[in-house]
Amino acid sequence: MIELQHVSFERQGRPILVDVDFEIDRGEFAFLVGPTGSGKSTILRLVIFDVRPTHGVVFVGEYDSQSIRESDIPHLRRRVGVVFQDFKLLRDRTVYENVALALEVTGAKRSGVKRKTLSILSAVDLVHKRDVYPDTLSGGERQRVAIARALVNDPFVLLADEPTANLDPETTDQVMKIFAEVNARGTAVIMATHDLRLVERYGRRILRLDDGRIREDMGLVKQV
Amino acid sequence: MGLLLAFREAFRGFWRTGMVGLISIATIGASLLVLGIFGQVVAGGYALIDRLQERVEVDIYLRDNVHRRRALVLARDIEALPGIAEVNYIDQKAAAQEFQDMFGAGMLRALSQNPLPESLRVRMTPGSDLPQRLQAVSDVANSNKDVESVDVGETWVGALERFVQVITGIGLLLGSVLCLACGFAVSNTAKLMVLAQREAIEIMRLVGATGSTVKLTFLVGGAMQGCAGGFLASMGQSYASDWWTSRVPDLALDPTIDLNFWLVVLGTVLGVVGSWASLNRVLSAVSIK
Repeated sequence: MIELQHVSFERQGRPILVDVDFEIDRGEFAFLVGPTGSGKSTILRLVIFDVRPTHGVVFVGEYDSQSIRESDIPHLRRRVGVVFQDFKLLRDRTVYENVALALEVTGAKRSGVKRKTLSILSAVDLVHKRDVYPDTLSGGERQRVAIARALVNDPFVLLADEPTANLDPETTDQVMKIFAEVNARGTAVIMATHDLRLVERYGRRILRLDDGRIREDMGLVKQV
Repeated sequence: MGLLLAFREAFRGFWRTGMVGLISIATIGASLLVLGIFGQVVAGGYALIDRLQERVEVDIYLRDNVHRRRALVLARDIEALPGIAEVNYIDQKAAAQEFQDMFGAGMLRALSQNPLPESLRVRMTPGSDLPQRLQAVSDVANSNKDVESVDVGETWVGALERFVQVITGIGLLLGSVLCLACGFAVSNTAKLMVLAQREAIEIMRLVGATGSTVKLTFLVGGAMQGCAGGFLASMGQSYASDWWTSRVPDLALDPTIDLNFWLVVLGTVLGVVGSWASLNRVLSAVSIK
């Protein structure tokens, strides 16, 4: 479903990723683990075709980085949910508007937008806060809004870039629980994190990155 | 939904640009107002020329004792020329009556006989080739041995037409410069709108907005600004036109086209073009981080 075949990526002549090669199957949950600057975020950007590899090929669903057209990328991104450490919520829009935007840009009908937005907000337990602005929410709530936005188009994979880095342990647990539920419903999850304790606690497949290379690919790690 | 979304995002973008957006509208409005006033002067000038040309007459004075039948033959020859509205034969009696209506009966009564000559009065149809047509009438009349003299009063019409042509030239030059200024103002505002909406664009792209959806937002924004600027200009232009008409009613510049409508259309088009000019370059600088 998602495969990086001998992918290298350079920025201004500097290698960011070197010969990265792995595959994520449908419904899988994998952690990309490594220190800051190890190339985790670049892998996620490669998966949404925000950047293209310098060498190698990235396969996502029926698309690959060598043949995908620019006009296909938006259609792919509607099927790939992305969550960031800094939430990337629009401060001048309510919780509802932030989530609904992901449906509106696809040209969805108004009635459908409302139904799906309220449904996903209900799933992350934020329907009661639909009319408030992100600045009034806690960090955990903001991340749940970001997750709702990432999930509202029913993606086949959810990419999360350090989603718990700004959250306290209790809120981290809440967010991780949501990811686990999403994964249990068949959506693959790829989470980039530098927090080894988090990875140990949740026990999933681990791809350990260092200096732009996959140093270790551990299958299902037992939950601690 | 796409257009609705574009309008909503355009409003938000405009709101975020704040004072810059308002200044842009004011710039467009002021540029179009100057353009509109020039347009009014030029279009009104041409309409005025048309009205004045309808009044242009050529008086062909006949020699004494020319038989009426020969005068009517000459009248028919002139009527056959292009651009002639009508030719009237003015006999001595009618000429005396006209003179009397204009200057009173005193002078004629002092004379023992009516000295006024018989004449043909030629009225022309309006048109840009009026000087040439007047020349043709004059040539036909002067070549006739029964004609004493020809009075062609075209000098002032020609002068007015030349004046309007100069104004048209200045208007076109100024109009081009002002259109560029409008486009520049809108394109700069579009850049600022893109920067102000940078985060929204990034997120829209992240969740799968197509390039055309994102662009449409800014084109609609540019169109809205241009339309608002055009509307301001049309209001100012109407005010200026009313002001002129109330002070110089005899020289009212009533153009045959609806300038107000065209100012709004031009503003909208310039808004779209200005936005389009800056979009591709600026949008490519916004990426997902």
